Amino acid sequence: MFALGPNAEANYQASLAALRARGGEAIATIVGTYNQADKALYNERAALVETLTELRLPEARDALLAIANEPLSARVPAPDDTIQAIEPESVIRMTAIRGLGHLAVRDDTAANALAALAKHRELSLQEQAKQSLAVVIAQEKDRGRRRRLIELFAGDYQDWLPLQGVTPPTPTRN
Amino acid sequence: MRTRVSRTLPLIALLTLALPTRVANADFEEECVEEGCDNEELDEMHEDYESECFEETCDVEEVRELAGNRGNINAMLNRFQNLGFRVNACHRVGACAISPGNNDTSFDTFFDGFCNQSSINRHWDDFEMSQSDWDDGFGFNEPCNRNLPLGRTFNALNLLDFFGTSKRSGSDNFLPFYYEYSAGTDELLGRCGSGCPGQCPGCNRQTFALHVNGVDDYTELYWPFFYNQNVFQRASTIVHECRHDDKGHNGGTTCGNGGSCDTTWGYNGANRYEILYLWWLSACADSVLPATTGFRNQIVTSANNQWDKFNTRPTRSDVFGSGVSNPGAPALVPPSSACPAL
Repeated sequence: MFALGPNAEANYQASLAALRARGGEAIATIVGTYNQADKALYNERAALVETLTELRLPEARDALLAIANEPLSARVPAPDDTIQAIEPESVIRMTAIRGLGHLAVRDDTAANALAALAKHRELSLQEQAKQSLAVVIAQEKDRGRRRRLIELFAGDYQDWLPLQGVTPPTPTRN
Repeated sequence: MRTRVSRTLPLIALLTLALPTRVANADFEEECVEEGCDNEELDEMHEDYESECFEETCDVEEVRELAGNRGNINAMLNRFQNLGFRVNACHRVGACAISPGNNDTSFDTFFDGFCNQSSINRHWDDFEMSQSDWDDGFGFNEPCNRNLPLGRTFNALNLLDFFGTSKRSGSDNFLPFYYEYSAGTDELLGRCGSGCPGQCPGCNRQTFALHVNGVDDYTELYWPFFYNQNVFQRASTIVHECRHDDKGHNGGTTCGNGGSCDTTWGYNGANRYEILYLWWLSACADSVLPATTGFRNQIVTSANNQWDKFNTRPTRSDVFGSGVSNPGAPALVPPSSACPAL
């Protein structure tokens, strides 16, 4: 998954396709490994959830929902440059929310879950849910469903559509 | 990580139900330190550990009881791990147990391939590293060992310089800028410490790195930097800390993150630098060597996890200027960005 090189993406997509062909069995294995994994192994857990997300299989919905809604410890005021465990945990939850976004294109339960996660106490999760739901709304062709999704959205979904094709801002030394 | 399915667990569960109190087995001190234990005895000890710490939630005191004393905890967990039994890294005592985890998912395997005498010399000089900060188990004698702190730091620097060590004149691609910027401003020191690497009670916070301003500015890198961050997160931490040469955090603890807050995007502090580095990496990694979508997704997600470190949430106009569409909308690092020609 985490690779660079001329064939890296093709190999990655081939791996995903092979897993996709195994359907529920692949999902059960990934979820089982995730659940058994040492909580401190953030990279491994993030990689498992990234895989689950990119499989884009409807059967992964409940697992992604469970991961996105796993409890997070409270944030407490901390000295500068202290990283709380919640930070890498948030990346894992955000990855699961992205996965729900892929499924919400066709799945109302996933879309409703995104609307609920858009009120999460953690800003990062809240914003990822808004972004994912906004993209679903923007892609929706069915007028009725689009209207329902807009009603679910707290605020203007267009605020949360990522800009396309922009170059990153220039760093300055001042 | 290998895990083991316990075959004797149901029997132990039945015994537990039948007996009013837990049968106290001999601890690691008695069995292994004083007498020398075999795999069967370790298997039995691990059954206790499984029962106490995975089926239930254990605290440090319970792990200490199983180990016999505090000084044996890491040795006991290492023996378990060597037999392929699962352990929780949070239960380790002290912060300086080597715990690389999966070097593929941390990206260390890939960037270790770029470690050679030339890269070692460059990083060593550019970041003013000293033997006394990187010996004693940190990897001075094995600089390309991906399991050791120095090798893992070099891997982050290998990623930073993978796209060039300075921005080409006339180029609008700023990805190479970050190596040049970081190297020009800082000295890197390896350090133990900052607690256990996980979600243990009382261990909810970790210091990955600390920038020290003084006559000679430097950045201390701590254990969670080496072992809890993957290569691109380590690289972004180095960029973040090096920005502290010029600017500290100015937002106190009142941002959503609860610390390391910068007041605004316009302050141009370490949080902005970190987001921008990740943003450029996601945009321009492909310009040198194509990256997988999985790699890019995790970079973008890590970048978008940083917006709560500003007291005022940055908007599109803060980031792109007032000419941008929908200027009051929150700024986001998009899933894919354009990279200017080299």
